[in-house]
Amino acid sequence: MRGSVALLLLAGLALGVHGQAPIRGLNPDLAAHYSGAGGTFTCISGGKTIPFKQVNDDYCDCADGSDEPGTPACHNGRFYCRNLGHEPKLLAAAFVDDGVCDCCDGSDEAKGNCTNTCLQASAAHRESLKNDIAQYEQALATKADFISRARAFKHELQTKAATIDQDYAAAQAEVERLKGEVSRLEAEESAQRAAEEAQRAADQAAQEQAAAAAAEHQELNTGSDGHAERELQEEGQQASEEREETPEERGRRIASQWTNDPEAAGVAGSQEHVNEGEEQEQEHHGDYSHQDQHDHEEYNGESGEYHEPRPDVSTPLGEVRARLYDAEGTLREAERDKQRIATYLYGNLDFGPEDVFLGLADQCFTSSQTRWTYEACIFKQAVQREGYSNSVTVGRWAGFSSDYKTMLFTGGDECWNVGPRSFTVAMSCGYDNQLSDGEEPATCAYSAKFTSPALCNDEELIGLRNKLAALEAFEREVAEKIAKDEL
Amino acid sequence: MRRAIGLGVGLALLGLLLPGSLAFKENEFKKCAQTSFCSRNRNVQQGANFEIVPASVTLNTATLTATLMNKQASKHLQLTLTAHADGFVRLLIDESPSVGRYQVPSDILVSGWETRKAAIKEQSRSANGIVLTTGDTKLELGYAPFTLAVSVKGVPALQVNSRNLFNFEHRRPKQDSDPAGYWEETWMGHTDSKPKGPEAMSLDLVFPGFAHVYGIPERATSLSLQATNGNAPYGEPYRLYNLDVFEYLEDHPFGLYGSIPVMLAHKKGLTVGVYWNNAAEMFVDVVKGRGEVGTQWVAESGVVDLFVFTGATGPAVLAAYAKVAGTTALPQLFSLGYHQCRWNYKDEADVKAVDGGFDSHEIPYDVLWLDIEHTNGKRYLTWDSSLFPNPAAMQEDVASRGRKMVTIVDPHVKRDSSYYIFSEAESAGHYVKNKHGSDFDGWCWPGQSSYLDVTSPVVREWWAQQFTTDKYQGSTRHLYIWNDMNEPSVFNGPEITMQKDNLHYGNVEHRDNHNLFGIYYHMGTADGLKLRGSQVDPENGDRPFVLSRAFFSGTQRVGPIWTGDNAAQWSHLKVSVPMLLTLGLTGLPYSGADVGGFFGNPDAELMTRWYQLGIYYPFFRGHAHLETQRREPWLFGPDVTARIRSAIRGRYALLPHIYTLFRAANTSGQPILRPLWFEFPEQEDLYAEDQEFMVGSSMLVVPVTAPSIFTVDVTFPQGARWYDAATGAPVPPKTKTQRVEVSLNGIPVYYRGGSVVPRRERPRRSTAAQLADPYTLVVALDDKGEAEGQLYVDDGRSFAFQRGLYLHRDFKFAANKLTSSKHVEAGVPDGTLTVPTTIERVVFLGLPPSKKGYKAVISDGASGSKHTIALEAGPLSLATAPESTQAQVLRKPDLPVSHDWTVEIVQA
Repeated sequence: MRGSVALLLLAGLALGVHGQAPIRGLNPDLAAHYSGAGGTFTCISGGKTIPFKQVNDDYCDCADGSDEPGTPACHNGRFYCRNLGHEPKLLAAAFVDDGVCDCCDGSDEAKGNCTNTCLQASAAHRESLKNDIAQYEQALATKADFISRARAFKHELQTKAATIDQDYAAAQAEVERLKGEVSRLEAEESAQRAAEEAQRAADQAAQEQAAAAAAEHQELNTGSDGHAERELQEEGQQASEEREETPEERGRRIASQWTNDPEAAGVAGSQEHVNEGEEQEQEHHGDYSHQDQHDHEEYNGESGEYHEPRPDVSTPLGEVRARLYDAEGTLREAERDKQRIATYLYGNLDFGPEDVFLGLADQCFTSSQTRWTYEACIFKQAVQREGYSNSVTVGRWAGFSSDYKTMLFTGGDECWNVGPRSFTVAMSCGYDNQLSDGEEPATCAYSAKFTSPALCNDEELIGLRNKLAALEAFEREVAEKIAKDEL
Repeated sequence: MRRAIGLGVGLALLGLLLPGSLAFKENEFKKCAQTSFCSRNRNVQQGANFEIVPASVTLNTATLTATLMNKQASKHLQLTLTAHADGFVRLLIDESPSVGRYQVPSDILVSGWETRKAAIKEQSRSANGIVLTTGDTKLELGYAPFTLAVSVKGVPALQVNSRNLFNFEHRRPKQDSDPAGYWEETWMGHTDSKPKGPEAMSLDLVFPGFAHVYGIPERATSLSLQATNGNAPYGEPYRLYNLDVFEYLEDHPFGLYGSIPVMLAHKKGLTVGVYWNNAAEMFVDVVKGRGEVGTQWVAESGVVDLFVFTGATGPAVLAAYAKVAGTTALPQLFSLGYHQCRWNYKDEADVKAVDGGFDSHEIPYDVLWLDIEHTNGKRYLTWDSSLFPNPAAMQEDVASRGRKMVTIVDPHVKRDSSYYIFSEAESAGHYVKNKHGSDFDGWCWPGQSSYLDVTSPVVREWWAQQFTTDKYQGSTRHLYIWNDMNEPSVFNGPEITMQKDNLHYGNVEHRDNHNLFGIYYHMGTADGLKLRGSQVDPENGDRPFVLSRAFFSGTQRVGPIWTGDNAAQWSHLKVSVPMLLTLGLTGLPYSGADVGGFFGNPDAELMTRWYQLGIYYPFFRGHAHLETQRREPWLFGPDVTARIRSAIRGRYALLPHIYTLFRAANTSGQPILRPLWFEFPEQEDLYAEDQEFMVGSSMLVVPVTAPSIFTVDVTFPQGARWYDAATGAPVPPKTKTQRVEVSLNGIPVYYRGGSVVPRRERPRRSTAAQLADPYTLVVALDDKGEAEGQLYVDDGRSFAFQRGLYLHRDFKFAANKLTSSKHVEAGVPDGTLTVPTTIERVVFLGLPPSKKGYKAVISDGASGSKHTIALEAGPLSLATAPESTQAQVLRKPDLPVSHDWTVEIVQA
């Protein structure tokens, strides 16, 4: 529409040519219908013909509203605002002369009732376009980064893939060899120690026997005491379960009927704000910058393993153990590489064009409403959580739609009378990776929206830039006209 | 904040696991058998225990007094029977005034009627009774046992105590031999101390020759009340005790949020109304058979104060009741538009988006509502400043498009000394007291709460002052109020309300005035908006708009109510009709049910049908629970949006008619929605009809309340012609029922022949935007070729109409001539307003076919001008059937609505 504005403007100006007064609210595209030839007007659809003087006579004759573009008489009439200096607009004719300024040029209301705000609107529009373009450019840069990182990652895996089997076997062999070495050294050491220990053990034997007898006696006593205590505890618990509610508990229980939330009623403090949902909406999605530092952990999803510290190397046995420790590390890495190669190189996961979605592989995104939190772990599964307790799997990864506008999780937990739960996520271009609007539009069929730079594309940016260029050209063009035109 | 996990939380968890499956918690509420005063009176015959002392009977012009004796207890009661010029008699029975039994305060009713008395004439007297007449009404007072029979023109209307169920428990000292339940009663861990002992009354009212009784709201049940000696749940009496009932059922005698102790009985030629002016807990049994309807009314405390209204038809009875309880306050026009509500529109951006959504989808609406989450921690009259940092600017922005906003304000006050409302009310002693005399401390949304004792006029006056724009921070003159939870709802109280031994102003026990708490709170709030209005517009004021959930007789003078927390189910859509019809029959027509259903998620079809019916609700609001899907009208896809748009536009088109009906409600207590029997009182087969209904007397609406409906069997009341309101097509004469095809685009609606209905066809964004629009008159002719109707117009906003600044026209079509003349009504000041508005279109339905066609000769009485316009075959409405040619349309006569004029239809 933007590109043709100048033309529309000219057409609009040309209307007065036949000497008749311009028809209020007339869309220039439809001007041909309003020539007044033969003194009649034919409704644009439906074919009814009326005297031309009934056009804009504040009475609706045409079912399509076409006889009253400039009055509110018809249900479906359209009023054309020229909005010189800004975008033209087709307004519901019913909003004409209703006391509300809908067109920035004020043409929908009686003269003098509105101030012309088209230039401000245009300027604001221009600024927001510029802002959009800047953000879009940033998003596309992020997207390019996704792609190049995915490429580097795959390249790394490919390099490794060539030798992975040999590397893995070698690492395995080395571990076996070192294990044997360690066993041999340990056997030697323990034989030596055994002789020393034998004497000390004999000395203590009598003493230990006496101590053991005493301990057995004591255990009998405490055993029965402990039992009695447990019984008491259980009774106490039962008593507290059967006791009456306090007034507060009753109040909260009744309140919770309305909200299914035991905490619904009774908010403490003096300036609390009850928008906990908002606060929870901080999403713990991954930060792309840390991929550089922890490239390895990024894709295996098994970070957080705990390893023993490397053994002390001051003794010969310690030194061999340390070498075994290192070899085991190498083996683990080889194993992980194998797995990653299988998953990301030869697996059947689809990471989108140019593997743009590969960067999302180990990340989970959440969307929180007042009560439910949805968490989508892309390429894995999605769950719905209530508070911190109940959680239900709403689906397992089932891939993208062919146009990469939707991701689907299916085969979730069974739902009574419905079958397995499913989760459909609509994807669109956005400046951040963000899951939002999680909901359950039909029983056990969940949905959400996901935005990501990965969904942005050059065409849209070009479109935005063209819009801006056209707007700026148009602004220059009408600047002079505005000076002359009565606004 | 974490609590020990006990029984309570366990139950709450159960609720979590089975959402929706528990619904109505029947065991949270008492049945008659669990209630001492009910169980000791229900169906208990008193033998001949109550007798009139013959020598005591004294008649003074309009008043009969007598001593009524409880023989067994040798206890004397005072009986007073008065006749009133407004068409009713009143029966008062009390102990000696020195006993101090509670009477409903006079400000619950209107004044004036007490002194407008009618003469009572003695016809005959014998040892066993006295026969009196007043006007057409005969009163036969029997002495032993005490009975009273009322008849009108020889037709029996009402019998009091013909079944010997009358009882009156007098005050007495406590005795060891007293049965359990006299002086203390415990239920679900709550002990009611009952310091005054037993003081219940049982009224035995039989409607002879009647088969149908109506009224005693509020409950979700049929219009014609079912007998209560039937199968569960109809083995329980109807209950009148205002309660916050979670997930109420759609077919149950249980009482809900409000109570009006009014019952109507109707048979051919006679309508009877009874009103027991008593605000205590009440149970009402209905039994049917032997050609009569028997009822027993048992109230826990107070006095017998029974009003009996009789008339040939329903309208006469309602007009008489209105003389006692008052009429519907004329609402502001905006409040008859569409209201968009949700728990909750969460912040200012949300408000802006929803407001903008209506404009971008070209759907009219007038009011955007904010539920409890807008406050700072459920401290009403405050704002959550993080969500609503600029509430005044937000309201001004919404108002710049002619719209209003509403915030919720509930009667529980958070016990927090840093909250100004709490501390001011606390230091002034404005709270309801517990039985020990200290401030009652209950639990509600904010946690620990106290409750304003709004039964005190002093407290109401203080409360009213809180609503001025300087006091209520962040409010503007565009903001109106919603009172919820005013039964009162107390989450940790017995049956989710207050203890009956709590104490009110004047040391009145809560048991005595429980059912008044809601109306008094509503009244105090409305007084607040009136006060604000008198500051904003000192000359004309601003009519208050306050929605309430709880109600009582007289609430109509204060503001509208809605039917509370319904559910997104077809059954709830269906029961909304008899619920609203019942409210209309008991003087409270300004009411509505939440469109879409509060709990749960309506699908697109339910949503569509609910809007199509909801546009006829006098109060028309969409509302939804916190945990439901968003459901603004445009969220169900473009087809559904178009259907809902068309429905809501239909409401706005009909507003001139609806507003005129509100004027009739305002002057003479007539309902907006009417059961068929009310309009067709002679047709017995319509007496139980509670799905089809009339809007005023001129439109028949047939709801569709089930999914996947393609045809509906429409019952047409006889003796009238009917025209399809979408196309104008006439229904063939004498059609009793017709199977009518329905699409998703609308529900069947018909104009009744004989009506003139004013409309405004332009689909504006709000009522404010309609203000200058011209009118369309639909003239639907009856068998005689006649029709009549009215149009009432005023500024839609202020009290200026009370000074006569209104325009009220009568339209009459007879002898081929449509005339407009000034409507004159006794008892209201003459209308003096003129407006520049015109009538742009007159649509005639039912003109006989004419080969040559018709023309209209128009004479303007004011200007004396005369001109002629040819009628053209055209659509009844461009909105509903633009291509139809069923109507004869007068194009652009530009008749000034303020003028007298005639339009004569002649053959062309």
